[in-house]
Amino acid sequence: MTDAEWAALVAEGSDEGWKLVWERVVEPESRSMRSAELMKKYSITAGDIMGMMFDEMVGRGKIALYRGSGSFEGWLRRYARGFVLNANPAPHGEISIEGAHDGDGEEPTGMDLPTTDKEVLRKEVWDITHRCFLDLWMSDPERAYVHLLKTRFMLSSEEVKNFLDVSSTANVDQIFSRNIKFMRERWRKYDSVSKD
Amino acid sequence: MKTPADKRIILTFHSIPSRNAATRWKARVVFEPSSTDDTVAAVTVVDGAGAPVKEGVLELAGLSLAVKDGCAAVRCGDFVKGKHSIKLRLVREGLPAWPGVLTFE
Repeated sequence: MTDAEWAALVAEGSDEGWKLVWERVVEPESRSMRSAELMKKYSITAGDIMGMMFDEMVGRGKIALYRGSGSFEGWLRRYARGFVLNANPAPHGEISIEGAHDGDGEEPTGMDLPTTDKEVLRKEVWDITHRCFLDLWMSDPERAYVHLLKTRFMLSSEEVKNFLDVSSTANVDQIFSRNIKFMRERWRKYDSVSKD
Repeated sequence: MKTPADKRIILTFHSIPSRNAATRWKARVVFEPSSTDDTVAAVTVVDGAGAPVKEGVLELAGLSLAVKDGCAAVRCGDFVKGKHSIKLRLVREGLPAWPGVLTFE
């Protein structure tokens, strides 16, 4: 398979293409000495990298940035490495329900939002995150369970798979990756409404 | 299904917001470490004031769980089978059946 063919399969979200991403990019990178150390530090699994890759390439269309001038494997690997290098979970701006606890005396660490009034912000974060999560439940409760188990209870994709009887860890990663996208979109929607 | 051997997972469900405090409720489902299909998970149900719900039916995961003195039970395998079921509500005599949602408490 040529790099161009592989890239096309990845862009389509095909299992064949993504199996190769796992075997040739994500797994080797997660075993490399530098990444393995950081992954341990930040509690990231290879499944998290896979989820991020899927979200970036398919969800955000970053695959279109691959011009074919170098090795596709090397190009993907730079993404995976960059994700690990910048994996400090606090300033990510991800919709982390872990950071949205109400009244816990801490700043909401999972949200990278401007702060003017800390108490108001915490309440807003709490309310909006609740609404986003309710929407996730209404789209399919399994998605909400996956999100909760991954981000609140820090279960690995393997553990979530076993808990919820999902067919494969890759499926868990895809659900989680789509959840992140869904939550981001909902967050933008509700955040803009609350500012109006 | 199988839960992690080293973690206790507690799923918390809340009633959706209501102006009528009497309709509010909260339910917790506790999955002990290494639970499997046949393990029975304990469910506790309290009202808006935190008092155990004396009697009612919790509709969760496509099941109708009888609640008595704030306690109910669910077989883990049955819970997972109903993982796609959106319908979640607490039915109590004399009160409107009130829906709820999974939350991240």
